Amino acid sequence: MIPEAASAPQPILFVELRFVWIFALIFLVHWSLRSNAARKLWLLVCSHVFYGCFFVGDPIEFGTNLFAGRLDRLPTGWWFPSLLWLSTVMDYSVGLGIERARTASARKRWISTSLIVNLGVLGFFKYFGFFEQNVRAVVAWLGLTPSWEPLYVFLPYGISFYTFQSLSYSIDVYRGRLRAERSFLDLALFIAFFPQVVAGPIVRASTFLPQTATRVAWAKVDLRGCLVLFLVGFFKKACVADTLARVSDLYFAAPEHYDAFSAWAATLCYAGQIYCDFSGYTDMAIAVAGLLGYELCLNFDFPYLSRSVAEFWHRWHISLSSWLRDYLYIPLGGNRGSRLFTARNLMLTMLLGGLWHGAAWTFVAWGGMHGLALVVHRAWARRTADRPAIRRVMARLGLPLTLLWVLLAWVPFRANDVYIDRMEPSDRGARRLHRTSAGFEDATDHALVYPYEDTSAPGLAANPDTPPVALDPATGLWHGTAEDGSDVTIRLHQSGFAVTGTVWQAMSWLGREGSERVCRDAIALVLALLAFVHALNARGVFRTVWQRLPDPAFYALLGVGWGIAVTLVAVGYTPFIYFQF
Amino acid sequence: MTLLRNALCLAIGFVVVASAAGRWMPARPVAIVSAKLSRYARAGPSIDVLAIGSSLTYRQIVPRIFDETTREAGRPLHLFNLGIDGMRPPEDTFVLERALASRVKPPEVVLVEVERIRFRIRPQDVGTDRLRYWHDARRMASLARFALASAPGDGGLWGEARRLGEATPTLARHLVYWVQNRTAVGRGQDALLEALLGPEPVADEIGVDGYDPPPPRAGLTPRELDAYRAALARRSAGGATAPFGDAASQAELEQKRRIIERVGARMLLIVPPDPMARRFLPKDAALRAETIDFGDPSAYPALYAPARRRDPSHLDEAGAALYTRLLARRVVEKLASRP
Repeated sequence: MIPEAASAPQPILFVELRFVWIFALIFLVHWSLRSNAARKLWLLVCSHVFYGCFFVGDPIEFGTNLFAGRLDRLPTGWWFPSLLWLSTVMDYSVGLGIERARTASARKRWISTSLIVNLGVLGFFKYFGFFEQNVRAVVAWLGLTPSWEPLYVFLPYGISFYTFQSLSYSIDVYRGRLRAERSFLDLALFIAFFPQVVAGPIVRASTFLPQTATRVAWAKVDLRGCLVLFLVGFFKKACVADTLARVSDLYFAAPEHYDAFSAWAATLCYAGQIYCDFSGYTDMAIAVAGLLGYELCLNFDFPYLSRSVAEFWHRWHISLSSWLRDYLYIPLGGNRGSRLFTARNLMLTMLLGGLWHGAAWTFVAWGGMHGLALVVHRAWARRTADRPAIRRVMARLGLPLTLLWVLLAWVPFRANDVYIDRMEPSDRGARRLHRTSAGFEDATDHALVYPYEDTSAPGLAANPDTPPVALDPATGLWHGTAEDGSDVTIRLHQSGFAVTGTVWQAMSWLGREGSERVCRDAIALVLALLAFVHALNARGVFRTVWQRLPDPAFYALLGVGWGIAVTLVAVGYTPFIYFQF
Repeated sequence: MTLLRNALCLAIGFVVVASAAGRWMPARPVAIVSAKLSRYARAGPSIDVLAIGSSLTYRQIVPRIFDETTREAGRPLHLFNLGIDGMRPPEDTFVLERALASRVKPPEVVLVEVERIRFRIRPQDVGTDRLRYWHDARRMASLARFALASAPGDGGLWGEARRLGEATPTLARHLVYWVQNRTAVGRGQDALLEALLGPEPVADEIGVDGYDPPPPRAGLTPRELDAYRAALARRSAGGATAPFGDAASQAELEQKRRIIERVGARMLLIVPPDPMARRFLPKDAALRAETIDFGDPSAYPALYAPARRRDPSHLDEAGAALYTRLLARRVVEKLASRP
């Protein structure tokens, strides 16, 4: 008999039905508590339980194994939630330490501790594998055989977001912009607040902590606004993003098979997918926080309608771009120097911003493209400052040119290395794979199909459908044995940059392109409809209609909206894209 | 009061749209299941025996051999195999209902593989159409009965509470599948994706009279052989009388009998020759009398020979042929004993 797989960790997603029940419980208890401290404590407990669910799997099974000391039966990364506590305790101490320090050097020591620990933890979990892969590649390039075994490091969900959030607190205290928080409860809630802990928005302490100091009041909650925002976010993520993902996933798994129309369609689909995925998540996070009486910051403001790349970064992932501006670009010197100095700062900020999104050179390239565009835009704006005619023309061309550049930049952002599990020259019939921190997943449906052999996640290794593979350091190939006894060999088929090149060539109609269509022409209609609705929404057309309705009509309409949304939802959900960052 | 009124308005809006969508948007075909039901519905009028169950039925009861054997035994019968890989109660009852409702002329006999209700959701089934399609009110009632039915009285009140605590999340997940079915979740997107990407290929190639041999495999591996021998020894030590059962699974069998007898057919139960699974015999004496039990290795040693095994649970092609012949003879005997 094949042993049954242990339960794998089950992240709670906002788009799942069980989130509704869980949130209903959180909501009811929260508002039934009288004291504000009790409410905050309740939310802190819920936030850590919510975050813990991303790692522990079945709580009963987890608890049984933990108390019985069977640590080998616990899911990989079960202890990752302790990192959140570590970050909280450390930044709480750092804040108080900075404020109590009598000398500038002591203050520096405290802030250095925060920077080293926060960035060290983030660097290890997020970039160690990337570093190891690059060293391995360099060693192989030198004609040597890497002799060490790879160390597989799982990336804890949300670490990029909460690290930046807690860092911003320490830095603000160090700069004297914020007083150190005396209440550990308030600071812990700020860092772990469940609506935003996993995928942002990256809330500033100066925005959130004042809210914890005052009693949240139900009378201030914009119930209608929150309910509509949650539905809109749900629709964006579960209906639009997951539908468009089917097209882009198919295309980017094997771009060489498809024609130029497919390249454009898939890139547009990806642009729509990532926007709806991330802004949908943010909408839901803001709505959930709003229903609990807390206000989170705006994170997206119709970025695809920007007339320049600079404007794009004022409208896209606003909480990250403003973080990078305040804690990286300005400390680097900002624009307080020569043009070259400013250009260097812009490029560095965007390159590091790209790397923040993921440990791959394609993300760095994406950041570089945006950095380059910002430098060019800056120079152009300066040169045309006294030429109103050119500025008028460019004002009209700004939107399509910006959109084109943003689209082209999404290609390396989306282009993963493509692996296949077949050795013959012909790749037809081979499974297209992407490499993740757990193993190799199917490039089109994201299911883990080949875990690493030394993974300690019992649910992965014990499943007969997922034969483990191990890296042969000499050849750089992964080998394993499938359940039917056949050999499995996985090799790199196309690097992310090769995929990018293939897609750009196809988009330009210059290169060799495939003959297949990834989807039917109807995609153009769907994308045009989405763009139209987006443009109407930007003009505020939908913003006032539902506000004027009487209660029964509003709630009936909300029910109709949910009825439509559930028919359009992707039943097999795809995790939010930004969870991986 | 205002809160209640608003909640009611929301619910009405939702239910109206969801029900309309559920009525007008067709469900996506489920691989193998839809094809088999459709093939059975369109089969000629001469189907006398319908066999339903898991892969132990699908891959091991060969209609051609069954028909030949019954003909040789002087009671010619034509069998259709409605077995489906991984199908266990209460899914099989759902399929049985649909199958019997799809034909004007019912079969004379329905062979039902005896199995316990599968309550636990296998990881590989999560989120699939195959898991979703059979969740209706009746199946939910069966699952709820299974979750609430008392366990074999060990552990006392604490044990009972713990068992209920463990069962509740799974029951809630089943409930979600039921709600998804009722509200046509995802059917709009299915239609949209079909418009964008073309129809999704659904496995609908099934063999003659519903039978398909299992994918080829080179017998038992040494590790499997060890596990098989150990299981066989356990089964042999338990002898022929090792029944187990729970009230919900027993009730499920009763429900099947009612469904089958309502169309004028006769239900015969089969305990397949699988030493790897626990052996389930009905408690009810009347049902026990209608059971053809291949679960005793000493009574059917040839079916338990390791050389006849494709894997620890399944027979190979030669084993399946032997099993089908033995089954056909026992069916003829049963029919002769109570015409």
